[in-house]
Amino acid sequence: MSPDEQIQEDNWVVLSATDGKKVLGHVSRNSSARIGKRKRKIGALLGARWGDLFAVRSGDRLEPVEEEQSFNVTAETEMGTERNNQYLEDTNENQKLEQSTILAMKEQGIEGEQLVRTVVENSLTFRGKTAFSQEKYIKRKRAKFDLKVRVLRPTALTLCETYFERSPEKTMHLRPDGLAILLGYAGVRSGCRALVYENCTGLVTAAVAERIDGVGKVINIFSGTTPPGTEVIRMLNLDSLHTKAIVHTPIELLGMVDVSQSEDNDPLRYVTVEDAITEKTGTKHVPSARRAEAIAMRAKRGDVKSWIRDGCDCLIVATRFDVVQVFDVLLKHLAPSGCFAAYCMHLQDAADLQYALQLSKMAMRVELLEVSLVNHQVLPGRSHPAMTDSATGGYIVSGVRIAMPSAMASSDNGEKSN
Amino acid sequence: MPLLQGRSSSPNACDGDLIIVQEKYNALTPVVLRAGSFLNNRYGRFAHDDVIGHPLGRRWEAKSHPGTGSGTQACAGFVHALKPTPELWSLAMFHRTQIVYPHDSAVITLFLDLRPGQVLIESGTGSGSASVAFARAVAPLGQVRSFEFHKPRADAAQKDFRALGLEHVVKVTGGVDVVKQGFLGVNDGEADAVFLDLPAPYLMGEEVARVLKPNGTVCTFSPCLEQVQKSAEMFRKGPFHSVRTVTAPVRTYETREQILGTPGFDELQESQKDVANPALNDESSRHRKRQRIELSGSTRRKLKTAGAERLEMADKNDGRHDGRVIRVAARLHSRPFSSMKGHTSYLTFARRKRGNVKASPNNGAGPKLLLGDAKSGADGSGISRRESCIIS
Repeated sequence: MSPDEQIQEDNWVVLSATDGKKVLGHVSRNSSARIGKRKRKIGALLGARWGDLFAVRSGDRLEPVEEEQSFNVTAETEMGTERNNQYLEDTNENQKLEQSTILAMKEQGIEGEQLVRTVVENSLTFRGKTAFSQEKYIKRKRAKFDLKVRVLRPTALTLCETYFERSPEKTMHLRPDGLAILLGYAGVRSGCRALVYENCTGLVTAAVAERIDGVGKVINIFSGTTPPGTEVIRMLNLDSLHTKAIVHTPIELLGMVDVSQSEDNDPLRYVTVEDAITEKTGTKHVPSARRAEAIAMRAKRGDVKSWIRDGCDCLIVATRFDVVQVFDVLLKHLAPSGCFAAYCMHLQDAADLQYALQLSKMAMRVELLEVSLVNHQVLPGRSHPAMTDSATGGYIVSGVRIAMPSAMASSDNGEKSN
Repeated sequence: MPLLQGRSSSPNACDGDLIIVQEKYNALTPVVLRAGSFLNNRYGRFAHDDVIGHPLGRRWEAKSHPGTGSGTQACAGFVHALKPTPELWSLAMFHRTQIVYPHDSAVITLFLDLRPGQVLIESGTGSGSASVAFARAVAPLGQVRSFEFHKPRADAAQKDFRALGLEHVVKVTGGVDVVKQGFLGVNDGEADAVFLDLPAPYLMGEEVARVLKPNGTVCTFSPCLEQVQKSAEMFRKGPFHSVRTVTAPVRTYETREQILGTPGFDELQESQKDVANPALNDESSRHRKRQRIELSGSTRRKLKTAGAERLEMADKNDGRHDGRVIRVAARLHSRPFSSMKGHTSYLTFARRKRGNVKASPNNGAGPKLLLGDAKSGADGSGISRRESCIIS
């Protein structure tokens, strides 16, 4: 077994719980994560393998459990319709067990499936339910008394899902379907040079880095001092090769790409923590050896300039600011025949961009699409789209960059036909 | 031009490259460049030599107009020469079967967690549109191993993949019925992902479990819910977790400029212009006024949009456009195109559990065991019974 398959100290994990929620965890011996409604210790994940299943046990700790099916599926024909909710009374008296009794049972070590069974047996209405609603009832009780979590590898997909569930405003409500189309239509692949501008806490940059897999470059344009909001990139557990492919590039550099400068042989410089301290204290703060090494590892200014000058293969934008302005600046750095895709939360922004691109003569096949992802409940005899679902995946504007007609060298006739 | 051309090679098109030619929005054609050859279409006669040795992504002007045959350039047209991408290819290719559309293959690629270097097993190959999208995701060192029971279709797809320069990534096995014969030549636990676009994916459970690595992903692509139900049941009974079914349709929008003003209302307000009316001083009414002055006497229908004005300015400037992406002062209207692909297919995803898990043929109905009137509950197994999965 390669160590990569085992969860190690300092790894980030995505915990997918049986109550349908996903949470992030940062694994160490004493760390914890909020699973269900409480904080639980997740030290037990150390040394486990990705995909393993854990149960929440008393003392708010995790314990590895064997694989099993969450619940069985009964066909409609087996269910019958003789039972229904005709005599169901909606009161709190239907459960004979008191909350205190349940807590006492928990203290005696009765937990998991055994507890669920006791609760079910003490339900006055359970027997009157149809087999279908019995299933649902058990599922709910299991989520409450027999919570399990599956430990998943943090990937662009699982991180996107988790952020969308937990704090969508941090990632501009970018849903996996939007992210998928963004990466696909922009043509991100191993070996390509991608130009990225995003305000999604690093999610889009992380997803592009995952796709190029350390071969190629992710030129992440940022404004301000140090690269802001890149927390999602850290959560991918990337190694140094993959981290090195991400080049956080200050926007000022775009104004200098055609200018040769004396500091072009130096690594990219941002206003750093050290500079901030220097300014604050008035005395020069020297970065630690480890940090100085990290700075030296950064791409050279001159190299980044030449990559941008040569043109990038794809352009990916997800901004909460003025997307038209972003394209006005960045589109010219996309090589002709390169593809672009922009994610917009609002139709108006996407429409502005679509129209501006159509008039720019710099792009063709400009498309504006709304993405959607419909979850379906699929069970024998009772399949339907989910009753409650997220309403939209946002808007994507995509297209292909073309060289300006005046740049045509092959012919001297300027007639147009289409 | 190989679809996966690296950065190190020349950005120029070479003799023998496959490129995509766009005649109009809905007319894309794959063309293999040959020195000395010509492409003939409704816009004229195009010399391959004009493209070979030049970068793509630009206009390709005709040598002559169709029909005249002579070298007169009076009314010669142009097309665009583009690098192939899986998205353009799916529109330009010959559809031998119903294809997997780019928006679906994009979602499948992400949900299958495809990465460079991985091995994806696919069946069937069909027209190969999904194979090309998956190949881009796993290239350069990964593999798409595609099975197709229709031999001529497999051969045609293989030929396409060679033309696209993907022969090192996609391997097609033709004439194999995977339902009966399995994924021939694929070792146990060799695959990172499996994609099933078959009439009966629900018969492939054991074979998929055999070839998948732990945590490997599988997707079934089925247009009808009846197939999906069987597939979902197969995944639930087998060694899989995180089973989910989604559809991912897209809605395409068109954006137009609204012609501002309302017949009759404009005139009325104009006649009242002595009356203080601040509304007339906003940007849009200034623009409207300008239009009206320029086109006095003409009908409203002929009013120029701000967009048209911007394009005209470029024409006046010797055809040279400023190349800027900027807003015009106009109000935009967006609405979905009147027809759309409402439904393509249901996508059902699952992940392989770890360990050697065997599916038992009989699925014990858990909730039934709990019924007091059902005797089977008496053995005390209740819901804790480990039903159909045996993990060794």
